Amino acid sequence: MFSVGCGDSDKDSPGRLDSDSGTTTVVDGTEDSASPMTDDTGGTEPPEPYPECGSVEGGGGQAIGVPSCMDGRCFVPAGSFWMGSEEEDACPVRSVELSAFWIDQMEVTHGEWASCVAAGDCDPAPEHCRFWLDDHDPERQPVTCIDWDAASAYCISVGGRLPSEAEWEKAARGTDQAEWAWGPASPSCLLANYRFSPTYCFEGLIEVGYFADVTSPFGLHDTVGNAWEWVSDWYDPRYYRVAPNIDPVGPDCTEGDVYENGACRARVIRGGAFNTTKLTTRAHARSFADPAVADDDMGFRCAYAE
Amino acid sequence: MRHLAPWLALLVIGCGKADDTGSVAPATDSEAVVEGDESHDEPSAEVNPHEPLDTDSFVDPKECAACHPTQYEQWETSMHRYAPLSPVFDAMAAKAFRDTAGEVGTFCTGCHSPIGTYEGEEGWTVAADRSAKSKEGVSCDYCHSVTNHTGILGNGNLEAAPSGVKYGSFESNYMGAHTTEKSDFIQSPEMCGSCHDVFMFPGIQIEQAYTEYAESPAAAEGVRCQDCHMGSEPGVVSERPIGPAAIVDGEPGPDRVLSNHSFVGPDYALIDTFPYEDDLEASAAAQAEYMTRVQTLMENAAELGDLDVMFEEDADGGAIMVSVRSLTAGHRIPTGFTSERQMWVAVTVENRDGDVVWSTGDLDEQGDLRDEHSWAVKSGEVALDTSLVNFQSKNVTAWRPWNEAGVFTSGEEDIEVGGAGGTFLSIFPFDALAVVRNSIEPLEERELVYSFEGVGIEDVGRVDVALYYRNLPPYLLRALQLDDLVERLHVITIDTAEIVFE
Repeated sequence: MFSVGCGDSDKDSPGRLDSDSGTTTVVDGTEDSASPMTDDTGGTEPPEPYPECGSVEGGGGQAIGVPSCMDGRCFVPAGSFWMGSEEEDACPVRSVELSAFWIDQMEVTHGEWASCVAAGDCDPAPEHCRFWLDDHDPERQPVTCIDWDAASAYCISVGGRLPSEAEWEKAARGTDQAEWAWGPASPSCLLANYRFSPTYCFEGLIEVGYFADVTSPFGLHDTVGNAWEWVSDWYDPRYYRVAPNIDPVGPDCTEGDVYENGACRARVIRGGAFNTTKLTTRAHARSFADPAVADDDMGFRCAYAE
Repeated sequence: MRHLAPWLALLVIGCGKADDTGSVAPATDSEAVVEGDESHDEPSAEVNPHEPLDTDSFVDPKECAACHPTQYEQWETSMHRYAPLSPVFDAMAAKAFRDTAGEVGTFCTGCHSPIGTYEGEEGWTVAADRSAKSKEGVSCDYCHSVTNHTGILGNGNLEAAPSGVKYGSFESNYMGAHTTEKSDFIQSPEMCGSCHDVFMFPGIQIEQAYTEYAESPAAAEGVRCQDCHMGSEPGVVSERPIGPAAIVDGEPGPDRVLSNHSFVGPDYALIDTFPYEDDLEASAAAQAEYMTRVQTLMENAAELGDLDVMFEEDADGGAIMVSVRSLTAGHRIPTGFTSERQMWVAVTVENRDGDVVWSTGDLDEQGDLRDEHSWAVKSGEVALDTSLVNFQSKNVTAWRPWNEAGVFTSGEEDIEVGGAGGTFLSIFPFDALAVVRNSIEPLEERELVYSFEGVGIEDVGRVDVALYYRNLPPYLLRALQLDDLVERLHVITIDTAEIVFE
């Protein structure tokens, strides 16, 4: 059980969260809240209003998890974890129960993508998306310039799927609301490939697993930096406030609904990239992109059923 | 053996243009080491410093049209109206959002969609989702409600007070449709500079049309942005028509010196639904007419100087001398969002059989110059154009080794291009550490010398030189997955020269 302030006040001013919610509702951590995207009107109208986040309780901030990886995949056992943060699009922090799953230890590489191309299941990645850095094998760089549909199709072709946002976050930060994937240390260029300051750690994408001793609690490499990673969820900045607490999979956008807050326009991306700042290296940081976007800093990894 | 191209040197006090399509993003890191030129006041990334306004108070431009039809028609085709409708802007703003973890907020839309920003529209909102008010862009009533700028000049820091009072160039309230107050600010260069100077973390300016203007000969002579960009001929101080500024119920108001509200600059629409969403034919005609004004603007901005070719006796090559002259006293050329703007010199040398034996400034198969951004160059399909003269700014990004703790030891040396660590070029300024300018100073004449090989004086047929301009490079559009727009880009020929060998 944990307490979450969820008032009925008006919709937040755009981009800002009003922490004074007025009322407090106790929410069972395992309760399956109703999704705002499947309302009685057939999903064509946004629910009114979204609750506010209010004060929260959460985990202790430790990177807790048991690495169990084999054949390039890591196992994440069933159970709950603390998801979210006090950020306006990631609040409230809440306990989320997930079924067990496997997830790639590394991001999908150019080499792996080439195998898919050879099998006739994928189109070649644009050549310009490779980065030619000394001492970094181009074939082991994460494949980028892959839009969401292509990434999803690839995962299906190898017997998996894109991870849900919740799965990605649990795999990246463990169960106890850790800020960073690797533990308590602040980000540095020995831990991730990102934009340390106005300058960069590296001049582009580097090979996966470069930071050999840096893993998430469940054994994943490179969840932070190098390339953004697509996940399966549609993006809604207020989704966490109404999301179910068991195996959430993001807003239901099957009707193609477009709400005022931008939901169903974009898919969630996670983890930041070589050209993004420290803010994106936090294991709970969310971002989003049009599914058709295929930037040179956006890759993915796949998840698999238990 | 020397031929001077028959250009007419236009005597102008000219201004190029402060662009409209650029977007800006502060790449912030709460614990970042701030590096770069911090000689100016560090601007705030806050975009909308104002309290929320009742945006219903902003008058619909169509209402303005009832009494100001000419001004409305001019504005309707302008980039001020196009600003929130541009797909390039939408894509760049989205990219800026990703690369800055959302910190960019409404930094871009504060200028591109000021009323939308006042309405509280999110910075990532795209044209299709904008409110009707937001889609009005830099509308009639937005500008005519502005009272002053707030804080640092630039970054859209304007103070607007929509009401029954409209601020303009005249004191009169002749027609009584609304109260009119004469405003020094709306007539000032600072009014334009409020959006045509853009400061970005970590202390670099990615757009500095106003800064350039403030230091220019034109400013010293008291020539304003409006003089060159709201006159009858784009890019020069030109005579203005006289006539009624308003017609109410068929009754014309008193004669005024009229300003052109199409604000012609080097940008133009890349969508076929602009300016008339439901009439593509009329839109195409309007865009074609607009392009003639852009052409005039650019011809008023620069020209080629004398062209000469020299051969050494018995040598299989020679040297080509030519200059590029700025005709603009108001700012550098190009100006505005200069890491997008391409102005370059193309040179071809042909032998007597008409074969091109040497060239620079030509385009690869994807329409890009053969520079560091060309995918064809990157993939080795074509050679880097080492002789290329392109006045486009470069977005320089740096990386460097770190110490044993994984952090950088000092930031002092790293702003320098070629400093410790390394540098590379980024497509987008919000990924950059510095925007390195290569534009031409106001009224500067830049002397160019090319060495070429492949033909001697006995076999040379002709030498052609052209000065070209393009507001956006294809590689940028492709990086934004806007490939379909590449074919809509115009390469504007500003000037040409040639020498034909008999």
